[in-house]
Amino acid sequence: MAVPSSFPEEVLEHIFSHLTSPSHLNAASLVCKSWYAADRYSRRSAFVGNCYSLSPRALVSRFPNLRSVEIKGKPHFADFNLVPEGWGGHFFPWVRSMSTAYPWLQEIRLKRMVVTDDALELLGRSFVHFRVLVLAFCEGFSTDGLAAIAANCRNLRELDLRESEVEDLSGHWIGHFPDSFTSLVSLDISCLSTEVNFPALERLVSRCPDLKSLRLNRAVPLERLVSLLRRAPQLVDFGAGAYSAELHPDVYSNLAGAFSGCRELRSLSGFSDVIPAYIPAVYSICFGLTTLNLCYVTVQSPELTNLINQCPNLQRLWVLDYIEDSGLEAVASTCKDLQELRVFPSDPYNAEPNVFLTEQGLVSVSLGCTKLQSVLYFCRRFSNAALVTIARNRPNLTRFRLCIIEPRSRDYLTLEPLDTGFGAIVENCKDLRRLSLSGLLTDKVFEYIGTYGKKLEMLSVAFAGESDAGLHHILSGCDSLRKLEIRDCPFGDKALLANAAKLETMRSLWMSSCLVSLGACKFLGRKMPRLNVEVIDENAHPSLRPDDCLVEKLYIYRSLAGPRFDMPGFVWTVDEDDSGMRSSSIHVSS
Amino acid sequence: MPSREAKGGGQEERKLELRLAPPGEPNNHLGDGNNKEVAGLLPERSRLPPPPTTMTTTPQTRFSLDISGGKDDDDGFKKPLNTSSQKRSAPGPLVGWPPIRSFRKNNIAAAAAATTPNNNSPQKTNPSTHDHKAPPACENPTEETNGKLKGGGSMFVKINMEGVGIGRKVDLMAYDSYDKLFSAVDVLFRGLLEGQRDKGGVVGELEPINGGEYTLVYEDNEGDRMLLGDVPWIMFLSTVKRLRVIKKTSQLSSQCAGGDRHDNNPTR
Repeated sequence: MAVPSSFPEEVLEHIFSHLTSPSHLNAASLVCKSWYAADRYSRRSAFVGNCYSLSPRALVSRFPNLRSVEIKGKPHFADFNLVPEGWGGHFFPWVRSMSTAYPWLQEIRLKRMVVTDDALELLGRSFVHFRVLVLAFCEGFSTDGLAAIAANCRNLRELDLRESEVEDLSGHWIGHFPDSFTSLVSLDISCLSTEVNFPALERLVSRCPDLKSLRLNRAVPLERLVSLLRRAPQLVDFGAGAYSAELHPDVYSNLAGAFSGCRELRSLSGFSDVIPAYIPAVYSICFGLTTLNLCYVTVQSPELTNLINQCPNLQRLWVLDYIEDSGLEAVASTCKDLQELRVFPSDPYNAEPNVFLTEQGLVSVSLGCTKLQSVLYFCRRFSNAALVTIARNRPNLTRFRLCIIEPRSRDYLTLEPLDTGFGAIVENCKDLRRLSLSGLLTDKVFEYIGTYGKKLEMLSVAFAGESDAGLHHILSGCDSLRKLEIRDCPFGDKALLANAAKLETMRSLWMSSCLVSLGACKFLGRKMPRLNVEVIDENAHPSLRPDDCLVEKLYIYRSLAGPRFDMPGFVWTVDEDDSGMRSSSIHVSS
Repeated sequence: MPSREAKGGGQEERKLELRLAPPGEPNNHLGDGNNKEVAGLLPERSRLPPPPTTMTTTPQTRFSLDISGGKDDDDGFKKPLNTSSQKRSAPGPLVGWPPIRSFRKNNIAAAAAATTPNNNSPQKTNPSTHDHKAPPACENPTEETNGKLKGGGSMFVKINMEGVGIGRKVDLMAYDSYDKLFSAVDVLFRGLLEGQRDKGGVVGELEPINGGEYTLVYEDNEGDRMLLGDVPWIMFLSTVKRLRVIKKTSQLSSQCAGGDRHDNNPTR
């Protein structure tokens, strides 16, 4: 139907500016050409889930008026050292394009990208109104780059370096914020290893009245925390650095006093090396806490339990397995608003349990915390019965990641595989979006996942399955699947090739130590031009290997940009000309 | 090499033609995973040659299952006969397992080591004393030595050499003493030094890294540069953040932390 739109462009754009969800805007842009244009000019934020799915130029030409950009780089398994150094994910080409195209850019959020000092300097110079910089799990820059940001971004509100690897050249970068700079709202420097210039930090905190979130690194000693807290009683989120090893009563009372002055505190983190005696210093603000991150706190269960009992309003709890089943029972009875629980292993490389944390802890929480949606749990044993109980207790789970530390562990009660248990999870939790599996699993569990996991968007599989049928169930059944990462599973060519079309509907697929052959990769790469099929081979040129040779690591992702130009020597893609494998034609260094 | 392309002319090609079309074009459908006709590149039965009967030995080959045998099930995917026992044929270190970020690992290792005097071995009841007839959770107790998983974990730290633009990473958990670390660093940079020599750089390539012209130092969690060897190995592990190979001559000029780190190109 060719009814001309009766709305002027400006009205359309105004209406679209109220649609915040990208998927809604994407849908709107498909209606007709004028809506496409209106969306194009009014879109203010973009999320690029895979930095290689399109070129910076393509983004800039499609959406010329962005204010906020979020980009993700390396695959998730890079967190666990499965992606070799130098793989890619370079930010520089993006900032170079954006620096000329988006003079009004305000926010950049990056995850798992390589960010250089040059890129940070260019960023600082290019965007006058820049407000938010989040570098999560990034690397490649030093404190010099941070100094450039501090010096140039006069309107900066948020600088968040969470868990990035920063080359710590000097702590003086923080002094590069000019004296006239007062706009800081959020600062996360918890990943830095050396001490920042403390007087400069103190002055910065003093002159920024809107500072709400401050996460310090381990190098800020106890006494100095007091001074900072006193200068920023309006803090909502605080991450302490390290505590000292000895108890000084006067320091303790100062700290307790300082915390009690922070009536707005809702989130606490840090406290590496805290000794138990200092913990009560935070009791005065525990009632209001909604987020508590204790995953660097190595105190034992009784002290953790006492702390938890002070926090009835917790919504998010991250903790080490020192909390044990008993502590989790306390969580179940105290924290009735809990939505997210993460329990990390204190001694992951020891097959023998060092703490009494079992499946029972999670079962308790699933029973007592009716709002629980998100779980990450490391432990050493589990049972189908426990999984079924959890599934029945908490059908509202949206994220469930269970890591039983020993690969291929059986149900410790029945010695069966854990298919039934995980099957119950996917069957009962109808809104499950993210799932990580562990334990001994046959193809059966994948049949359940394919049948019930209709909303599943991200699936992580390790040491599981028996045959290609497993992978086929996933790819053919999970309608919403976006990210699939697999390691050490007997999945191979057949399932992959039979579901090739599915791969274009997903963001990416990672497979390592599986049974995919080089020939299948080449075939897939040739037949599916909108997929980038990348083979990671650190040992030899794949053309030296026969086609039935198995690839060690494989990363497949859909892309409008074609094969990338910045592949390092160990990443190979299909050469369109001679159907062999090649590395980058142009090596781009940023 | 037999051609694997599905021959058969235009119709096949159209079936395989899947598009991520930009908006505004008429046939805008993402590859419909449920449509069996265009689902994949195997329209009927597989035309691929049969799967390999032997596994090519890749570094992390661990499966010994026979994937060429087994009965067909309804999906046309063959199931191997021996599904119940998947032993690791070549036990080796498990990279990236358990899935914990190295950032977190290093921090917990440091934190735990720092508070070790406060954490005596927990006087907790062993899980097996509970009322469960539970066999041990791990299947193959013989594979664990000293109660450690075969992996032993990893702790990657950067190591840079003065004068060399590109750094490396070493896994400190792979060594249990300073001597082993020294020899490993030796091997690691010898190749780089050879390369430097070819380009005309002047290095003492025949001398060992530590003890010759170069010295190995580390940066601890307070940012100070320290000489190796003063503290026990385990304590070193808990405080080390990165390693550096520096020329002995530069060691002599007194430096405060952060003072002279601008002399090299930042290694990126």
